[in-house]
Amino acid sequence: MQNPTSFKSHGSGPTRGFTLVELLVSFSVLAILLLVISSMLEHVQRAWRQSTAKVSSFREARRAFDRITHALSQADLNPYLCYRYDGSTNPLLPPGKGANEAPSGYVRYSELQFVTGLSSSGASPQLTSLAESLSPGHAVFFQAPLGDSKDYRLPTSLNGCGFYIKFGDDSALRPDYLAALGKPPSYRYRMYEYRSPTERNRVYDPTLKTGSAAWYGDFDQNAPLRSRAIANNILMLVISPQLSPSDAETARVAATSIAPSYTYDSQYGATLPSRPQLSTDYQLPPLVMITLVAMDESSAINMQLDAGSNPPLQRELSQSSLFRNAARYATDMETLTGLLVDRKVNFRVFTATVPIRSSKWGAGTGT
Amino acid sequence: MMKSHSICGTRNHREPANGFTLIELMVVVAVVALLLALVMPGLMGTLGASKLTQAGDKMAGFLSEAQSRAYGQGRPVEVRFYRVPSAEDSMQGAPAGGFFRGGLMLEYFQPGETDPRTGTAALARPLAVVRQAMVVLPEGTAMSEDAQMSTLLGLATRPSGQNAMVVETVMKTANGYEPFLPLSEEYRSFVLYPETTSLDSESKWHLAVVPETDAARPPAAVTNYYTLLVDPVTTRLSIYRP
Repeated sequence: MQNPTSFKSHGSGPTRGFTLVELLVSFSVLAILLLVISSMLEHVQRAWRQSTAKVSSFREARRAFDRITHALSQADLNPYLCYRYDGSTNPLLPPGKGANEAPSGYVRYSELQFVTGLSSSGASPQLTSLAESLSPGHAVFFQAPLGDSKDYRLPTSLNGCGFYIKFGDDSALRPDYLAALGKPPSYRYRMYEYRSPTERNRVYDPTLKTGSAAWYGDFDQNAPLRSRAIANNILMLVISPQLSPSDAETARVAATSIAPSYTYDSQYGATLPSRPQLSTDYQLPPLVMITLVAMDESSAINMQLDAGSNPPLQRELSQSSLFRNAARYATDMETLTGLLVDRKVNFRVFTATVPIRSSKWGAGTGT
Repeated sequence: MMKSHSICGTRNHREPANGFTLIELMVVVAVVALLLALVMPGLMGTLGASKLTQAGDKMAGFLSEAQSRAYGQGRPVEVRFYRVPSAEDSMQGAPAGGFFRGGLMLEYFQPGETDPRTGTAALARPLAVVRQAMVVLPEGTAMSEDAQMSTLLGLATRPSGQNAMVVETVMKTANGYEPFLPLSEEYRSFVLYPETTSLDSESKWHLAVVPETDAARPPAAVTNYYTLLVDPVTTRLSIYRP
């Protein structure tokens, strides 16, 4: 204090230290610098977080895609041949005493089912019956020996299985205490996997045979139990049953001719149709083309900011025209990706054609 | 500016050797202290949050590695959570042995598989292999002990007793395989199978990584969390943050 030589300024005569104002100015400059640096750091951090979120959300989509292809390739109908009784009300059962009990031939039959088509309500066969805006794309339900049992570990026990998209909040999926902490739910398009453990598989349930209810009708009950979310931000699921290219060529039809409007049902209601059986009745499609469109989490966050609890991208995903005609798959895909690019959505398309192992397409038939 | 210069000027005339006055220094120090006081909570928060992110990412990485090991190798993988003591524990009300901080995975080889120790003989009995040292959360973080926040650390995942003793367990080290000595009997565990888990499919299974100071607190009193939710059927891992 008394000897200010260390603060001597260059050349000037009188020695003096910094004034308060100078010091304050230097501090404010320092503060501004710090602010600039911290904001830059924040930018870098945000960019990094976004890129990791992108990678991880597509990783999730990839995993979900692997689960679909894996499960679908194991779909099974396990069909068998049985007598057909033309004189009976139920052609699978002999008519009552006194009537002509002689069977009229063999037919292929299976209680198991493979069914796919538009997911939302109004579709026939009836699948999820969710509102169109909540469940874009297609749904598929089938039986597969995946060995999923609640209490036992059986390697190949039969499970009901299915996949569909549903838009909604995550309050049923996330830990319960988050609601008490006031964390807002996240509204997303999610891919769900329906899986009924062997003990709960209702495919042989006789009460279902009489009504119109399907064995997968419990898919939405007690939300996370029968169906589980396997990936967030899946915008579109397209399931297209197809013939193998060589079969299609031999028969001179398009590969998609077995499901021209993406609709395929291995069963015909609860009982046999009265017409003669076709070689395609109670059969699994030989190939299934699966397409999945996923967007990244940061696009989804931006959309929730705009749309809140309403499903975003409704116009883009509208099914009034998209994915209703299998012959127009490529055009529809182009339309959808174009619309998503216009909306600056970061997305990725996964697609693969999966052979169904136990499909015996075209193999022997009864009459 | 001009005004202050003129003040200095007059002072210079009166007193040529001019440093800071006590008042000036005190004002400067006060301003610095004020600035620091404004910035510190935010800075500490950011530092703490990044530490929690690091800890949570570590646990998420551990779980997803166990998951991909189970899926990739087609073998059951047991995930265990151990208590790891820390110096601060007694102040935060930790139970004996400290909070849960460590994760260990055991890979189960089935009878008939090649013995990993010899590489040739088929195993007569199941064998559990610990391939890597325990993953421990960084200093200052722990898994929440609260039953609401960490259902994975509740009584349901407590080992049943004999279970752990029956299977021979070895640990892979630099010198080959050595018998694995259990670190403690107090742990929680569940098994990841290639397609599913040992967890009850009708409950939600999660654990929360929290700042050490919050580890014994109920959800409402927790300042920050990194919650990892494991789907008991599909093994999917979801992360929830404030």
